[in-house]
Amino acid sequence: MKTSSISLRVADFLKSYPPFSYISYEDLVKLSGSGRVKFHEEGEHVFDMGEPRGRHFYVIQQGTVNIYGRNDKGLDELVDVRVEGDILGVYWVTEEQPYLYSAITASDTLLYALPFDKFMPLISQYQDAKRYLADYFSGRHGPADAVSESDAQTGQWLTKSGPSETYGLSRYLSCSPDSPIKDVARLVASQQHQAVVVVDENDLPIGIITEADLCARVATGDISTEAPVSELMSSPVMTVNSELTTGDLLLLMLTHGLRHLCVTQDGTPNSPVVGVVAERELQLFFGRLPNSAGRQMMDAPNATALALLRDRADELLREYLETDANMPFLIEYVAQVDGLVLKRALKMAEAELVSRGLEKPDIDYCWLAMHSEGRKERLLRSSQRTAMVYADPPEESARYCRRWFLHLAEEVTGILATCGFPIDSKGRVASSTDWCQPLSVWKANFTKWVQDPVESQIITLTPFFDLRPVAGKAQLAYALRDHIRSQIKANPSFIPLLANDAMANLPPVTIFRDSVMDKAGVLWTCIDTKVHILYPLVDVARVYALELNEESATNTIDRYKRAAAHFPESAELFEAAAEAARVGLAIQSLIGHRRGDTGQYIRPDELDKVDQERLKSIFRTIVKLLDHTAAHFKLA
Amino acid sequence: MTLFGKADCLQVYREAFEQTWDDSEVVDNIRFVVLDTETTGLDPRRDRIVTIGAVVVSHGQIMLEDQFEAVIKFDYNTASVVVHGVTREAAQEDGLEEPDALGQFLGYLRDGVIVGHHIGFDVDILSERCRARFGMGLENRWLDTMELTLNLEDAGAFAQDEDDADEPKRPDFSLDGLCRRFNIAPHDRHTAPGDAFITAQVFLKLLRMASRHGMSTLQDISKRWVDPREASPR
Repeated sequence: MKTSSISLRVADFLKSYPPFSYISYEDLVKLSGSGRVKFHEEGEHVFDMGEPRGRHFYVIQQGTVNIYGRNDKGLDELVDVRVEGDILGVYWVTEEQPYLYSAITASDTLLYALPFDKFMPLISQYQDAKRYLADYFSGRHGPADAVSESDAQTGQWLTKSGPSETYGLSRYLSCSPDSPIKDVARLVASQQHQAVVVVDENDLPIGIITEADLCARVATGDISTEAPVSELMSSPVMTVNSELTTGDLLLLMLTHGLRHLCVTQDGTPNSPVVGVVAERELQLFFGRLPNSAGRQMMDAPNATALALLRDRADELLREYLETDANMPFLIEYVAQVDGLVLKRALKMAEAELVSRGLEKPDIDYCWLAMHSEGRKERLLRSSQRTAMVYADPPEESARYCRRWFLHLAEEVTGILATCGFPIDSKGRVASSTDWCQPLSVWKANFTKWVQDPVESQIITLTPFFDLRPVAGKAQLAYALRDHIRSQIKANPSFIPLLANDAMANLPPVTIFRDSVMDKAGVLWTCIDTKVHILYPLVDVARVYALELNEESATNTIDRYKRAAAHFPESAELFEAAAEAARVGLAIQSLIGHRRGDTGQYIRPDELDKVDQERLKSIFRTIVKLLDHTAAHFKLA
Repeated sequence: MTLFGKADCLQVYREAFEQTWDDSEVVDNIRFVVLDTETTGLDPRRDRIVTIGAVVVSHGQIMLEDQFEAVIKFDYNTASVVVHGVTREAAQEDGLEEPDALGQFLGYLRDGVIVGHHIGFDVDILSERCRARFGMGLENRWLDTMELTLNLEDAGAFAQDEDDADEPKRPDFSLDGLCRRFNIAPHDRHTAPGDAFITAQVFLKLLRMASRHGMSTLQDISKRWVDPREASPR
């Protein structure tokens, strides 16, 4: 019988909800045609925990179903609320097993019952549907292969293409160091290349010449056209290996202000050249790139110009966010851009102080990013949280140095404020006296905090353990980290206390329709991305990083990846936590950029069903992570 | 046309009644065929069937694997085209000849208890057409969801959830009214399969109410509804 109008109506409904939205209409009609429609009045049990699973699972067509699980004390507790379009009673990669939860209707409810034996083979044909279900069950049963698959797909072009595959490496120009400049200029003029690699007799790179060099120093008459290229070339050359992704290449160019990278066999200058990657080629392949903005930042004449360039970087960031570019790239991208802004601001500030007649002291210093910027997680321009550490000056110049660095920080803080980074309302910035200190004072601070955390109210200070050097002598920051590590070692009660504090924030139990339900069953209108998601993830990650002597990892995703490496038996949980941090940060940043605010409060109806499910699975991961952490640190 | 042809369909249909439901049959076991037809007009003797849509309800569930749909070729458009939207041209293209469609339908229907909203007309016209083509009318039992609703109302099923008690008037028991009351999305009204599916959803809810009010047998739920004013004249 080829009659199917009623199946079409069911398929029409399913089509709007994942994972069915990923399945072709034709297949949905077939699936629907093998299903049933069930009706339950309020308060009926659709299925009970421990009951053997039937042939069907359910999709709610209309109504509300409460899901109850059993807690440690053996009591039933509400763990989720399911509404229109939600699925019930699906199992995933686990063997078919009795129901893990009870489902009880909270209103009159119409259910579509669909048979597993038709659904499962269908899902295996649709990667997106499979990935959705893997996410749906992630942290619980998420199969490793589905996760890596999703990484590969969302990574998009930023992770896909290495230079060896895309950029026609065989076509590059080279010359020997004693070739006359005019010959090399002819070579450049006759070809579609902007750069020539200068190689020795073994093809090892020793320098690079670009069109820009020819203009700036030869055409101007500074260097004769008869001179050997060795007088003109930039040396040494920045070399990379052919395995790097496009995203890596972009970041390298951005950080170093380069338009060309030389690819060698093993990535070092000690192996033969295999090609050149030019910014222009990346641009031809991928359109808008951050690099020219990066170069202009370093030349920005004043704070206003710098601010405009920083705005442009955000436009690009938002584009990347909207296209789901991979988070590790974005994290680095923003950190690099803000690093450039800071470096430029420091240069401007120094010049300003010198113009006022102050003399720059010969003392090393390091500008530190704290809080989210320290973790490279500030994808929105939130308040500055910075600090300055400088080498202990000789006693006679201590007061002058202090004055210089405070003035310097004040100038920089002002420029950053012009660039759209508000000054922290509690004054936790490098320009305030507390946060601009010589190394010995910083060490003493951390000693006190670690030795007497309760008295110091450590809970308000934890973000200072996310310190990251941004400009100046990084060794100062490393010295500080070493000091923190030795203090923590000497005070074994510190880490458990920090772990205990990390338990302060709990995620909600679930979200549905336009409501967020917390552990106590209270309904809220918004998800608080900070309190519900990022704080618990960030705080727990920090505890592990400090416990495992991984203080060089300040980024939360990175911290969990390292924890996974330390604890192979719990690697799955830590990988899930890294993924949760990635998604949480992405959602907060995207919504924040769309709305032009902090992205802290998100209404459930601002998210599509897929993102709602992602968040729910993140909530579950966080709860598991907190449980695991409590057990690991033997918290009561 | 099925593998066995029209004659076999009729035989299947007839044989189904050799052993069929009686009044005491428990509701859950019965194969209900919820159906709707779209026709060229409202006179069972003169008008023709344009489409038939049907789906089975059994054990309190709509069985989507057990559904039926047919479009029948007809000779001339009437004013009803604006209701059901099936034109003569469309029916000529996709439709079956009437004997084929009716034969297949009977083979599908078998002894199922026919269910529909104001189903009397559909039963009449189906019977009329079968008689014209095969010399036999429908033998099926049938029940009208409208009458079931009214019986349930008399049993007090709707009383407690009637919110606006200060406006005591008979609630809206049309199919659209029931959809509103039961929160069923009434999309696709006035296509035979669409109406059959919606009616089936209403019927599921009515069955639950019926069982709560002690109606558990075929006789209980298929009782004809009698207006109390007519039943006990003053």
